[in-house]
Amino acid sequence: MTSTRSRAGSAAPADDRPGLEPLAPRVPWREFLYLGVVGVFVAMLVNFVVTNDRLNLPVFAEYLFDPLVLDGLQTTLVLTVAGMTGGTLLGLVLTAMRLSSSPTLRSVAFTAIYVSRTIPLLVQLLFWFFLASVLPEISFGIPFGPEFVTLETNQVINQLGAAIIALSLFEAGYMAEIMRSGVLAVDRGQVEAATAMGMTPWKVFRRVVLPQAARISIPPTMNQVISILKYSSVVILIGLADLMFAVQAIYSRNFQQIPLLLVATFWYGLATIVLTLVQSQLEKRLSTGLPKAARVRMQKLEETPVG
Amino acid sequence: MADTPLTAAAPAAPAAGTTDRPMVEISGVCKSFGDQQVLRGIDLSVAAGQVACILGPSGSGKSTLLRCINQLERADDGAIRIDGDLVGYRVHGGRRHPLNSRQAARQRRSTAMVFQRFNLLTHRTAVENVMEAPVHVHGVPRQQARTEALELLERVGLGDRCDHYPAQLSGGQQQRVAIARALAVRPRVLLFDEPTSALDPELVDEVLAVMADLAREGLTMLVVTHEIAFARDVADTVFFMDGGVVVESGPPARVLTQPEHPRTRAFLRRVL
Ligand SMILES: Nc1ncnc2c1ncn2[C@@H]1O[C@H](COP(=O)(O)OP(=O)(O)OP(=O)(O)O)[C@@H](O)[C@H]1O
Ligand SMILES: [Mg+2]
Repeated sequence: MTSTRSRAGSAAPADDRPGLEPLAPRVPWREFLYLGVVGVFVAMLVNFVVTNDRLNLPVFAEYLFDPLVLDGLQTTLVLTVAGMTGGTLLGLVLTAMRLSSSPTLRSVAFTAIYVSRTIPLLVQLLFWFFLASVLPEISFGIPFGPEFVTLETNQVINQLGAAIIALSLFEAGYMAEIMRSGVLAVDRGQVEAATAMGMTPWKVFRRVVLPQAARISIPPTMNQVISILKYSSVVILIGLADLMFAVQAIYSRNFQQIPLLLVATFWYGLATIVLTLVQSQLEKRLSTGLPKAARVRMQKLEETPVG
Repeated sequence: MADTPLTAAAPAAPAAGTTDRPMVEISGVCKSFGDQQVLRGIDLSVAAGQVACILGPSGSGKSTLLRCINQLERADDGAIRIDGDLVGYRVHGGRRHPLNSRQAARQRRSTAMVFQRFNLLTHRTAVENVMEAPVHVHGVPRQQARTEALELLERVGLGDRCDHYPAQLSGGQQQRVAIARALAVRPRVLLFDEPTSALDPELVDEVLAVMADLAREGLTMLVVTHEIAFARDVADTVFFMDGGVVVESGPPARVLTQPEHPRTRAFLRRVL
């Protein structure tokens, strides 16, 4: 008689009753197939990169820390941070108006969100950059009355200013909707319980709604940050020296387009990795009170692929 | 558990026993949602220190009535008074002016509500839930609020669960935390909206036991419930609601055993 001992339960005596036969070992043939196909593609890519002299990897290394590139990276990061900050603050105001009990404020917010999401980023950017042609001077004063301060538009809104305004206004509509969905996802029962305790609406918002809405809003907000990081490169059209501007300026002189595009990709990629790490830290920090089961489930979902 | 008072300190109202002073007075309260009239002229009164149970079929407007009392809804017509104060309005120059949200929040401090679905703050632990209103509404120092919250949790039998999040507690335990949270603000009136309806049968008794203790200590309670046994044993008065009106009221011994109104009789036949 051959051994019918099961793989796992070698301590337990073999059971000969029907239906309780030891498990046959499972060979993941499908997994081997996938690995094989992926392996061939990776090998082809590596071969292409290593054996292709025209790719000019030394050029990549030479320009990776070029001062022009690093300055451009800095501008890109400034645009991302400023645009997101402006967009988030404006979005918060729009959300509050959108959820207020005043029909006037609600319609203003609705229209503003519609406009913000309708006008392409590129159009907004050029609009603010060329604002001086329709509005040469900006004045502060009483509407239709006396003016106290008058400034030249071109002095107030330079390239960087136009870019930050455009990015902020472009983001505001998206951020408002992200935050509104976060607020709406908070359990109404908890809002009522806090109200019944005698909290003012503002207290209810700060103590109950905001902490929970913030957690819900993190993943979509991070999506916005990562996309603004890259889409901010449209500013090259108004001559603002960001990361893309820097690599283009360099390859227009030395014609090494691909190595320099790889330089830009490297920095965008690094920034995205950092942001992803920040996101998972934030999510962990704000997950207080989520049932452990839910947290474990979320981790499993992140770790295990579908299939 | 029963011999120490459940409230952290003696309430301003008489500590125990019943007086004739009305604590909750409701007269002619009407409320519609769209063209559906949910409350059609409710009259009821609960004396200080008494327990009133509200019974009635689903959809008869019981929750809506409680929500009007603590201003989660605004009644369309009629008057609600708590300890003599008109709820939701300020009378000035011979007219009623609706309270703004700050004033309404201030007035809500005299009541506390226990909800059918507990409604604990999920991002805070049990003890933080109990401390929330004392610290952030009444301005009690954190340390003192924590001490009192721990005492309250101890007395609803949850001394060992104070650092658990709601998701880590059973339904019955969550509801007892919710009761401790309601007591923490020393309300003049405690409102319960079907506090045991969302619980598994074996968890109902632990919550009802805590509520019966509160009743013995002389808190004024208004309890919407389907637990006929609780109403019979604990209530001073039973109100039976149907179709947005109180169709019958009186001591439980009479309303529950010799109901006069046919609808009360039909309802009791179904639930008993
Ligand atoms: N916010 C609302 N908007 C519209 N209709 C409502 C609202 N709240 C309650 N209603 C309606 O009012 C009626 C009474 O509801 P209410 O919740 O007061 O009944 P109830 O007596 O508490 O019933 P139950 O025993 O099922 O809890 C129901 O028909 C309900 O659909
Ligand atoms: Mg109800």
